Amino acid sequence: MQAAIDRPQSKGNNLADYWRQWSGDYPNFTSLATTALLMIALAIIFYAINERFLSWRNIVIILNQGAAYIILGVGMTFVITTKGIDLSIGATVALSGTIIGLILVSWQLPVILAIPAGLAAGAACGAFNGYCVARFRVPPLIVTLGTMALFRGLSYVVLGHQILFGFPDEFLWLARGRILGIAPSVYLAFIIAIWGWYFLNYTRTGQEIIAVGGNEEAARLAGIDTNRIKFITYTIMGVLASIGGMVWVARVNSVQAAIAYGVEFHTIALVVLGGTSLFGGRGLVVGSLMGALILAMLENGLVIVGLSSFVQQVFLGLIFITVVAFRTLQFREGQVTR
Amino acid sequence: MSAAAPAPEERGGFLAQLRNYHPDTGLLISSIAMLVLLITVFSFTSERFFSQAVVVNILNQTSIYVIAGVGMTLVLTSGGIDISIGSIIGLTATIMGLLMIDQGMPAVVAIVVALLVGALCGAFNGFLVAVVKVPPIIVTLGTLTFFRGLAYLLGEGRVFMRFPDPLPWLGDGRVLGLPVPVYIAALTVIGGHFFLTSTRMGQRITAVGGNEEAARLAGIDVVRTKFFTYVIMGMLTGLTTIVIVARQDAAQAVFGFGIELHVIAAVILGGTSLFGGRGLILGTVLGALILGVLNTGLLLSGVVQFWQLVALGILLIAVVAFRMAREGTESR
Repeated sequence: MQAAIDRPQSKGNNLADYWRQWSGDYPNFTSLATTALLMIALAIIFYAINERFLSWRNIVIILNQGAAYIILGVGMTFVITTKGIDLSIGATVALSGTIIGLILVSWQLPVILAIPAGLAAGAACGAFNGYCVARFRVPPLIVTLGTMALFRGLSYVVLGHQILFGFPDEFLWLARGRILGIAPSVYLAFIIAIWGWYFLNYTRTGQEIIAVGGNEEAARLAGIDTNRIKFITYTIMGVLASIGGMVWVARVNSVQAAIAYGVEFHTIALVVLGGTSLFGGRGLVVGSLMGALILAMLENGLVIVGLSSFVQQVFLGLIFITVVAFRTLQFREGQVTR
Repeated sequence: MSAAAPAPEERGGFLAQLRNYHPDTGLLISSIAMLVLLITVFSFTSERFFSQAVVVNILNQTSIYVIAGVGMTLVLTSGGIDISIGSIIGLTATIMGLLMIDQGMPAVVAIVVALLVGALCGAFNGFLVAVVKVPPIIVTLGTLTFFRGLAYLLGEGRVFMRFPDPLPWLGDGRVLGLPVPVYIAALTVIGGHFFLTSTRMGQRITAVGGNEEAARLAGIDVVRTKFFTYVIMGMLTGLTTIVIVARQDAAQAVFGFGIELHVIAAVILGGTSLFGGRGLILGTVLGALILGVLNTGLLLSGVVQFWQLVALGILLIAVVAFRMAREGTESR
C-alpha cells in the first residue's frame, strides 16, 4: 500500500520507473510492444520445440488460418471501442455462409451473385443488431445474445443438419489460390486491417467511434449522433463477419449451420489480447492484427506440439483469462498513476 | 400496464395499492399475462397441451431453468452476468460420472462433490470478477471455454450411463404425483426469495448492483458480496447438474451446452433488471415457465425444432426493448 502511494512521486531512478513513466505517456505503444513481444516469444518457443514451425510452408498455413480472425478482429475492435460487444458474429458467419452455400451449391448460380448476397446478409444482421442497440437502447450483450440464437436458429431452419460442399473453384480460389505463394484471403485480411487502422484513427467517423466509447454523454453533448455511430459500427461488424465467413467457407470448402460456433469468443479474446480497452474509448487495430496472428500461431503450434483439441481449449481459455486479468490490472494501474 | 402513473397513497384501485405495497407488481403481472397468452395460444394449436404427461414435462423442464435461474437472478441483481454455467454443468456432470460409475462411490458423495465443484467454479469466476475486477462477461466468456475444455479432458468423450439407484429417483421419482425436481426447484425458489429479500447478504447484493460506489461508501464489502454471489451461482449450477444427470440417467461432457441463453432469458423475461439492483426471484419462476411452455408448445404444434431458437431470440430482444422503452418513459 505504501509503495502504491509513493509511486507517482518517484523520479525514475531505476528501469522499472522509467518504464512506468513511459507506459503512462505512450499507452498505445506499450500495449503494442507487449503484444509484439508475446508474439515473438511464442514463435521462439514453438520453434525451439519443432523447427518446422517457422518453415515457409507452415507460415503460409498460419497466415491462412489467421485471415478470418484478422477480418473478424477488425470489426470487433470497432465494436469494443464503442464500449459494445457482439456475441452474434459466429451466427452471422453461419447465416451468410448458409446463403452463399444455397446460391453456389444448391442452385449452382455464379459467384458474382453469391458474394453480394452474402455481404448483404451480413450487413442486414449487423444492421439489426445496431438498430436494436441504438434505437431501443437494449444493452449490446442482450441484443447479440438474442440474435446469436436468432441467426443461428435461422441457419438451422434452412439447412437442418445437412452439410453443403463442393463449392466452385472460382470461390475456393479466395483461400486456396496463391499470389506470390500466399493465399488471396491473406492479402484481403491485411488490406482490411490497414483500412481499419486508417478508418479508426484518421477519419471523422472513426474518431467519433472512439469518442462514443470514451464518454457517450460527452460525445452526445459535443454534437455527435451517437445512435448513428453505433448503428454504423454494428453494420460494419456484420459486413466484416460475412467477409470472414466467406474466407472461412472457402478454406474448409463446406458450410453447415453449426459452422464457426464460438468464434465470437476467439475474436473477443484476440482483440483484448491486442490491447483494445474493454471499457471503451481505445481501439488498437494493429494490436488486433497481432492478436489474430498469435491465436493462429497458438492453434497451429499446439497441434504441432501434439496436444489434443481438448487440451488446446483449456490452454486457450487459461491464456485468455490471464491476458485479460493482466490487461485489467494494467488499466487500473494506469488510472492510479494518472 | 397502461396505468403507468403511480397512484396517490390514500386512494386508487386494488392494483395501485398492490403496487404501493410492492413496486415490482407491474412486472410480475406482465409476466403472468404473457404466460396466460402463450398457454391460450397453444391450447388452440395443440389438443394434447393439457394432458398430464405434457404438464409434467413442462414442469420438469422448467425446474431445471428455475434452479439455475435463481442463481442467475442473484448474479444479474449484483450487476454481473455468468455465461459459463453451461460449461460448469458439463464439468460437474463428468465428475459425477467419474465418481459414481468409475469409482463406484455412493450417490451422497457424488452430490456433495457436485455442489463443491460448482462452488469452486463459481469461486474462480467470483475471484476474477470481484478481486481482479475483470468485467463479468469477459471472465465467464473465458471460463466458458476453460471449464468445457476441462470437462472434455476428464470425460474423454465418454457417456456415463446407468447410475446406481438413489440418484435417478431425484430425476423421475414422484412425491404426491409431482416429480421430485419440482420440489427441489420450489425449495430453491423459497430459499432464494427469502435470501434476496430478507437477509443482510441479499440486501447487500441488491445494493451493490444498484449503485456500487454508494454501497461501498455505506460500508458494504463490495468484493466479498460479489464473490459470494458467484459462489452461490456455482453451487446452484451444481444442483442443476444433479437434477439433469438424475433425469437423463446419464452424464456427458457436452451437458448444459447453450443453457446459459435459456437461463438468462428466463431471468430477464421475469423482470430482473439487466443493470443490477432489482432482482425478482418469483419473476424468474414465471420466466422459466414461459420458456417451458414456449418450447413444449412449439414442439407439440408441430413446428420444426430449430424455430424454438429463433422464437427465443426474438422474444428476448422484444421483451427487453419493450421494457427499456417503458423504463425510459417512467424515469423521465
